[in-house]
Order: sequence, then structure tokens, then C-alpha cells
Amino acid sequence: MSFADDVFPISIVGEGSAGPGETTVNLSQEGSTPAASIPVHEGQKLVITDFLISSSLSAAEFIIQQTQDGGASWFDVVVQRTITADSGLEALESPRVVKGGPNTAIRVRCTPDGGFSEVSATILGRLEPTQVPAQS
Amino acid sequence: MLPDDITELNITGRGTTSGAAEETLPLTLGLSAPAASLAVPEGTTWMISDWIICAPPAGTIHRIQQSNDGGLNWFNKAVARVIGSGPSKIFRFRTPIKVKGGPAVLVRARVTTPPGPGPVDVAWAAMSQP
Repeated sequence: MSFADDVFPISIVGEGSAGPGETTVNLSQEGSTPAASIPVHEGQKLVITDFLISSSLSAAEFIIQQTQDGGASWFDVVVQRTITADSGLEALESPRVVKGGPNTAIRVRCTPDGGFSEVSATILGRLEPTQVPAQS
Repeated sequence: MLPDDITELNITGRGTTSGAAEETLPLTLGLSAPAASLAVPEGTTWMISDWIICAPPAGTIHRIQQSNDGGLNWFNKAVARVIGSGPSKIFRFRTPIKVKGGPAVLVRARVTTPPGPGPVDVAWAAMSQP
């Protein structure tokens, strides 16, 4: 598989303890300092194609969320869960697109069924330039 | 049929962990001897499309890691766990894990077996392209 010069495959990885309740999993992209969210900059769109999740102590629900207002409000983009303590991969038939903006970011939230769990999440996708309307 | 400028890479790692601490699983690329890391040559890009992990020890954590400075610093490209002693896990990615080569770019497999020593195996199906 090859990609155009202006398309960048990326992986975003998060690891940590989750629970009790819904917990943010800190994310790192290509060695960046782990942070609660990853910005998607204006002029780019993040196309999420794969979501690989793991929970070690119990089943858990994982959600990729997006904000467009700098974190004041978040909405769900992808939801997936493990049935037991396990790993699972959702290769998305219809990739989810997060259009970048000045206040746009994504984060991963996790809720372990059993209270606590060690969890990890890997988001695979690509960054593409946002289409610029042709000028007449 | 792959284009002429794309090379298939068969990367595997087999070993027995010594304990619960995270350790490097030596990797073999084709006929090469097992090595702690594999260099991704400048001018090439590796695309890891399939990740197979096998691990009898319960709770094993596998990582694909990359270094851009010859091995001083490493970061995760993917993380997955195998719980219990079930069958192998095969993860086939729609977007392959991309590693752009460079003079100091390396990849390696790391594994943790919290219960203690045990056999572990990995296989990466990858392609190299200019």
C-alpha cells in the first residue's frame, strides 16, 4: 500500500490504568509526551481506520471522542468494547473522519466493567490535507 | 501482484522471557540472524500491515516500538495484550503502521509477561517501498 506525498499514516497510542468509572486514557503520537487529548489542526483531517483496544483485568468499553470547542464538550466518534479481559481490533469499514480546526481534538475514554483495569488503545489512521475549494 | 518497487518483509520473533520485566524479543528478517532491533534504511518506508502475537503466559503485553535516534529513545507504535492461553491473535490493519526510514531509525518488539517466564512469538507482515 502506498500513500500520496501529502498523506501521513499515523499511530496514536495510549496506556494506563482506568477506573473506577469513565477515565481518560493519556495518548501519545510518535513519541510525544502523553496527553489527555491530541489536537487535529486546521487544514488537516484525521481519518481513523483502525482501533485496537486491550483491557487486562476485566471487560471494558472504549470510546474515541471529539471536541470542537477546546474541550468544553465532547461527542462520541467510535465506540468499542472488549467482552472479557482481552484485546480486540476494529478495522473500520467506514473510516471516521475528524476534520481539524483551531479547537478540535480527540481523546479516548475507557470504562472497565470490573472497576479497574490496565488498558491500552492504539488508533491507526492517516492525516490528510483538507480539500481547499477551487478558486474560480 | 506487488509493484516492482515494493518488497515483502517477513519479520518474526521467537523466544522465552526471563521474567515479568519488559524485555526485547529478538527479531529475524528473512535470513538475518535474530537481532534486538531492525534498521529501517533511509530512502525506504516500512508498512506493517499484519501483527500476529502468540503468548501462553496470561496477561502478556506486546509492543511495536520505533526509535529515530539509534535506540536512545523509543516510542510505541502499537500495544496489545493477550489474556489467558488462547489461540494467536491476528491484527490486520486497514492502515498499516508506517515507519519512515532514516540513518538512525530502528524498530523492535517488546514483550512483558507479568506471571513470569514463558514462550512468546510475534510475526509482522510488512512491505518496504522506496
